[in-house]
Amino acid sequence: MTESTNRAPRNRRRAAALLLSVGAVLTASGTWAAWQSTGSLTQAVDSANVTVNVADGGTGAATWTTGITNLLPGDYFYRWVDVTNTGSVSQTFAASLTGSSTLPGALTAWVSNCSVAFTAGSTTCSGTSTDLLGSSATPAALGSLSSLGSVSAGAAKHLLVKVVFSASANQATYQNQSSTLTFSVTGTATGGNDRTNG
Amino acid sequence: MPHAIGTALPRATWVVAAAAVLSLVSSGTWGAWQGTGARNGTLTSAQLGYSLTGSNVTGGGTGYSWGFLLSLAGATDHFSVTNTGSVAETISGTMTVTGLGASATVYGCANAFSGTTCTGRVTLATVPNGTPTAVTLATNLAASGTYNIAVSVPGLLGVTVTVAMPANSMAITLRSGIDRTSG
Repeated sequence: MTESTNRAPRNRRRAAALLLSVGAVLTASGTWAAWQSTGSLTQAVDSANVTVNVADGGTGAATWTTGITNLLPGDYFYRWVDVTNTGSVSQTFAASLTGSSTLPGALTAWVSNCSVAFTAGSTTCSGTSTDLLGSSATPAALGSLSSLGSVSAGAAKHLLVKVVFSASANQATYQNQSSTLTFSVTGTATGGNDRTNG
Repeated sequence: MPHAIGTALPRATWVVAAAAVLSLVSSGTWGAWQGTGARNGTLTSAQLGYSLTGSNVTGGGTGYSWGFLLSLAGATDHFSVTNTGSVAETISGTMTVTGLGASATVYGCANAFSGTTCTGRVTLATVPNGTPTAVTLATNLAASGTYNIAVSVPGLLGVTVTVAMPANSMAITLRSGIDRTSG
């Protein structure tokens, strides 16, 4: 009994020493503690596309590329224009009708917007017509049009342009003159909006 | 993707977003992004002009003056009018006949005259003595077209006659304004 009583403490000391040794070994290895977890969030960010297409409206009607020669005083002609927002965001359209060289000095124009597309070759607006430059009765000098307003992506404006060569155009000044008539449109998309929600 | 607790925010992703915002701010106009488009058309105004050709034309082909001593056989002169413009024109002038008792008849023809004879001849005017009379030499004459004129004065013995159509009496008349939408 006495011998077994004396052996027990000694065994406990040995066990303790063994545990300390194992612990020391585990602690000494640095790679055992490099367990990691990761996570992330993604955010798609796309910039807007701001483009405009200016095309002949009224399929089948005379186009802008149809040149007109031998204009005489009092002559006039119509052209149709579809201005389409081909971008990805709403744009505010501004437009102008200008001409090169001398001839525009004897030209006036009436430009109107129709709420619906024109029937081919027709100068009659079957929807609501809004004057953007001059009026039907009194065409105005070439220049900037009233704003076409905001146009949603994919939407279009349907415009009718009438150009008049003055009946009193001076022969000495305007005879045998050439000019390029340009209908130009600029669409503007404005940023600076809170896009937190998309 | 689930976001594990205790991990850092996806910093790199937000840096990209911030860069996009900064690029908008840097323009100073908050997205004055613009798209443009245009349609062009060419216009040309007409050119007008005429020319007279004959042995008694004046002013480089702009007028007419024929002076002669009339005989009992009468006399005939010819000239032609050409449209030198780019559109159809009606060309006219004022003719005067001077010389005691003399008068003139003006004929037009698309073909050539032989004397006062021509296939398709038309009488344009009769001009009495001393009375300026409007004469339309060519009606709606096409650009570059030519029309022949004959002036005939009946015979009177020993009379000096002058038939004149001065340049400053000449006029070109055009059609009125029309719809040119189709070109």
